[in-house]
Amino acid sequence: MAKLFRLARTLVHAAALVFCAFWLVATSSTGGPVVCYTGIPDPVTLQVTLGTPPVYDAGPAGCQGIDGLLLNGSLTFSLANLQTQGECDWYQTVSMNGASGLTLTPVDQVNSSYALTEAAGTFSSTQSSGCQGSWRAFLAPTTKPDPGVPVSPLDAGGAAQWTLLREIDLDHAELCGGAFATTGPLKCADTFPVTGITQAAP
Amino acid sequence: MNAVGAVAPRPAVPRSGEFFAPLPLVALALMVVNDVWLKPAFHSALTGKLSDVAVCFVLPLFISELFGLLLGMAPRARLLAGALITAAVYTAQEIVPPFTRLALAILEAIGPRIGISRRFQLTSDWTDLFCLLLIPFAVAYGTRRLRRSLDPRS
Repeated sequence: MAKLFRLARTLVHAAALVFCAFWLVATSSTGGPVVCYTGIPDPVTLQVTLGTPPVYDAGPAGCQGIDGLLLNGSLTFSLANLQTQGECDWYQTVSMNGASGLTLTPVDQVNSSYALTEAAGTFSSTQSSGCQGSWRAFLAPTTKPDPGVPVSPLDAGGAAQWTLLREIDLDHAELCGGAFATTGPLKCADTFPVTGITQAAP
Repeated sequence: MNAVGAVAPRPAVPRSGEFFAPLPLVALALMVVNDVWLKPAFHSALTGKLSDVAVCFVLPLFISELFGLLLGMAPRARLLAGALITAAVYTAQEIVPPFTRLALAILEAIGPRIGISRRFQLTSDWTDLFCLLLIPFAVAYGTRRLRRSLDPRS
């Protein structure tokens, strides 16, 4: 009986030590989102190369490149201010190059559960007067990173599949230089496969 | 009084007992309750300090007990080692930014391996150094616990 008691005491003792070790580490963990992304500094500028062909969403029509965003194109995102709210951590897009007619507005809450970044603002065509609306793009891996296994955007392309989803809510589709057959408000979107992401700066 | 000619057996030096005791275990429980329930519900300076208080009391005793079990160190030496390591690490983490970054990097490397997939955060605030006052208290408590385990009347 005494032997059993000693064994139980040793086991409880060991468990208390392990438990303490765990909580000494865990006490410094934030209650925030899962760490989904790694491998890039904050701030960072990423050059995103788009592949071909774009995958058209079942609902809205493709945007016909009215913002200059076409297959095999590229976009440059300047990211900063790692955000720790939502399901995954994410970065704010502070500026962007590669699409035309955009005026970005800051995004405080990303409208995606696991996008690395969301860029949003207003679109006003540089070629067709009156062709305007709201614009939004999400850069994300095709599947949500598993908890404890953060992914690097710099690995995008090949086995690590990433996409860029871009949506435009046009006020008057008929004013877009004949790009669309319909009139009035139109939502268009394209999902571009990402063939590579490279760190342009710093 | 021993019989003439007999040598009193020297009591064995305890290899543990300072951490596996009521007060450190209560402090550990307080740290867990604070992290799991209090911080998310009432995030404030008080909940931020509670974990620091608990760490400064628990960590010296935890290190001391580990040194006793793993290295067989004598009680006084291991309690002193636990206190010094805790004081040095805690102070550096609060006021030496490169050390804070190193500590964060270590935590972020260890965290995912033990199932913690959230980000880590270490606040650098010199007022947290008041929690160092708990370290001598922890040493005194550990000394008392280990003396009691040597006392045959206890």
